[in-house]
Amino acid sequence: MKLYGASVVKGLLYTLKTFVNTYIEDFKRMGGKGTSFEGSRTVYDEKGVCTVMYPEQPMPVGSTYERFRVLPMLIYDEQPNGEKDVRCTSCGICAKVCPPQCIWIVQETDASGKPVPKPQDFQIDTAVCMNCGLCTEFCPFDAIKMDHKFELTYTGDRDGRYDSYLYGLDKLLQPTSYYAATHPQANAAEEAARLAEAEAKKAKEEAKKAAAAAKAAAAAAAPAPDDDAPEKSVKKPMSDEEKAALKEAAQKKAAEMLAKKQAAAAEAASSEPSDSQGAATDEKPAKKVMTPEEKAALKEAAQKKAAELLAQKQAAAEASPEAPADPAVQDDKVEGAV
Amino acid sequence: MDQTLAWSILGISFVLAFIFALLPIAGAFFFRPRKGNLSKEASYECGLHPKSDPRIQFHVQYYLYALAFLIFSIEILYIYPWAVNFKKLGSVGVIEMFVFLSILTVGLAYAWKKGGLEWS
Amino acid sequence: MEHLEKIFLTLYTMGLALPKAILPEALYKQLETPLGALIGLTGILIFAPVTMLFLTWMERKVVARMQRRYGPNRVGKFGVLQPFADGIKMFSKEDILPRAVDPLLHTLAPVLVVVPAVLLFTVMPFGKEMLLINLNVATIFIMAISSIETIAILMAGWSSRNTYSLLSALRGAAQVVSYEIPMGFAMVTVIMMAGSMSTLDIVNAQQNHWFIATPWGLLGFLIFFISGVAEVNRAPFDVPEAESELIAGFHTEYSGMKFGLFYMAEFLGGFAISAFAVTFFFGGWMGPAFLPSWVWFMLKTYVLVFVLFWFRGTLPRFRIDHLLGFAWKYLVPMALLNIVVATIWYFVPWYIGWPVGLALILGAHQALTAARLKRLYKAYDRPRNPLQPVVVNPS
Repeated sequence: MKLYGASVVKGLLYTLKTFVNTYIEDFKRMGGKGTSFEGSRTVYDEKGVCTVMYPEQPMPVGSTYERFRVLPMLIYDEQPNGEKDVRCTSCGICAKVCPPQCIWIVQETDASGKPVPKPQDFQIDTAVCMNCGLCTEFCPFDAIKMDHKFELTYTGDRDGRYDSYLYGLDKLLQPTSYYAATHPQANAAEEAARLAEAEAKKAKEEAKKAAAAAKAAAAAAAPAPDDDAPEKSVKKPMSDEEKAALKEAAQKKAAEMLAKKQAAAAEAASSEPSDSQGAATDEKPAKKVMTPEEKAALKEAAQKKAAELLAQKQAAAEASPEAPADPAVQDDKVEGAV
Repeated sequence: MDQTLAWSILGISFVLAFIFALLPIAGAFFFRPRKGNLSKEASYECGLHPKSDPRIQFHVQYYLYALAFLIFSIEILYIYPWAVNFKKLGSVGVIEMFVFLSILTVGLAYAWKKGGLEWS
Repeated sequence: MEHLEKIFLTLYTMGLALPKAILPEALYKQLETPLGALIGLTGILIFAPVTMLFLTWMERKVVARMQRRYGPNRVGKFGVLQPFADGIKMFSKEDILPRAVDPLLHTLAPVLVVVPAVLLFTVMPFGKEMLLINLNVATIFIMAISSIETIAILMAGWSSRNTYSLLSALRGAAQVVSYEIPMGFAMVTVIMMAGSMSTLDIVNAQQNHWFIATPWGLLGFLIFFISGVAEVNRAPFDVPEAESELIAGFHTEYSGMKFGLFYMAEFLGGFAISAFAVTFFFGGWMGPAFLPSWVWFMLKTYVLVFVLFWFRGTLPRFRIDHLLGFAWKYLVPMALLNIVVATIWYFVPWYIGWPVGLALILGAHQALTAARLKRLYKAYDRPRNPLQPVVVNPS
């Protein structure tokens, strides 16, 4: 026979056990070094009280909880001569995807007033930022990353409060070493991807040289070519070469799936201007970042990247299905750019 | 203890307890800030403006419970004098009280059966 | 030990020494009792807020430990000064009087909620010869005084002119009114056996054995304590101030010291309920002589106060219909049965009284709970497929 209401007693006994256990645990660790009766705990996953005395014993966020994210930061590479090489090219993608629109970028210009792919000013209104991390997802240069600093309290006077929440370059810039320390896993993956990309680029440049040589040979053989022919002749071997390069890259990148995705997408984006240069246009429109066509192209690349992430498994198996897709994209882009 | 004295002391205690309860309010009157404004002095409604008078008609069940309470409360007062003299009255008193209690129980069972204790 | 036992009596005579020296003999004879009462009352009025401050700290500590936290530990050692910090905060806070409220009732309600809580202390036997007023109808007085709280809650809820406050006031009234019945019936058995309604006589009647050591005492204590917890609106019966549904219940529109008074009344009520449960069932200040009587009383009371906080740390809040159903359909029939058990106990020897009483109580308990709980269990124990995701909106 079941005694009704006995579970109430059971529940009461459970809380009593918890209550007593916290005291037993506290007494047990009283003898430890530098501890008082309350507030001696630094590990939280045992019996007894699980409170960590926060301001005195801050929990290390760093490598343990790598994906913890509060506010973006800008990464710069430390050059051997002490200069800061900011990765950001002020392309404005982050500002565009930011849901609460809290990023402002001003592009730097050189002495003659020509725009330079560097941020002159980069501001984030941290009072508005909602820590979604979309900017870091969309950044094609790994320049903006989410930080770990969550102690944002402003303790100054009342008037300076809102200004203090407007973060400029001085507060946002962080060296690569800092990023490597806080995000070891992500950093390693990105480094591997960057390495693979560099390899692929090198291989492609060699292939390009060979293609140029072949083209010169062909030009010497046939002195009067029509306008359309070179483009096609350039493109066909190019896609083949690219295929080879991608395949090569894929072999190298087989270990890091995410890294491979990034590399493939980055290649699709970065290889395109150099292709069009050789064909018809001059350098300026291709490099100029804020051109709408260029933005559209980048957006497309980003979208493609996202789509690729979704279709990870199929794409991971072989690089060849990607290669036929590339010329199609390039076609569009070339037409848009020209 | 003389009961008249007891009740008079109780009267004094009532007055003192009243003063005791009023003191903190009166004391706080001199310390508290006074910065009222229109939205602070509005009725609390989770951030919305109250749309209608909150003094609404409420559930009839409250009245039914109040009625049941009235009956039983008075019956408890009837039982108390019997309880004080329980040992003196002996078995006759017990039988009498059991008749009374059984009527009470029938009343409770009737209210229960009729759904008077059900929240509908 | 002797002077420890008599420490409060010594204080009392010391208080009376001054008027005895000043006043003429005849006048002093007349004024001795009222003056003594005044001194005792002053003692109670000092004791009440101190108790309340300590209880707020104790509750936060106990509940925190049950939830594997530390609770307050910043202000003073182990946070003992936290209640003082809270008190200063409440004292210096703005007292907002919303435009919609009825100012007189709104101000009077917190005062009226504290007055009965303090008055309950006057009939509380703290120790040997430490009872302020030996009232011959103390139990009725306790019932009557504690139901004044209903009026105060209704006043607070009605005068606030706020939907939450009014709803909470109605709930509170229905709850306090409902739980008064089983509480009164539980006290009937104690009066039957003690043969008096005076708290002093009830304690003296437990000279040989505490009332808790009998079947009717056990059941009576459970009913009395549960009803008492409901009477002072504490968890799990804190439906009137259910913060998840009603913001803060009847004190939604209160701030500053007025809110503090509601807070105080709740804790004093909790202490009073524990103290009276000790008086009625645990032998009051009775205990082995190695400790003074008032220490015994405080020890027992604080154990019950701990149980009060223990409930809060364990049990989830009732729904209002379950709450009232529990009072009327379980506690009232059980309390009626308890009178029968007590009568049987009086007429038969203990070795028959215990098994018969226990059998009656358990049988009634099972009969009263089985039908209701079986339905509940059936509703909750439906077999579910754990792999099936819960479809909130099929369309």
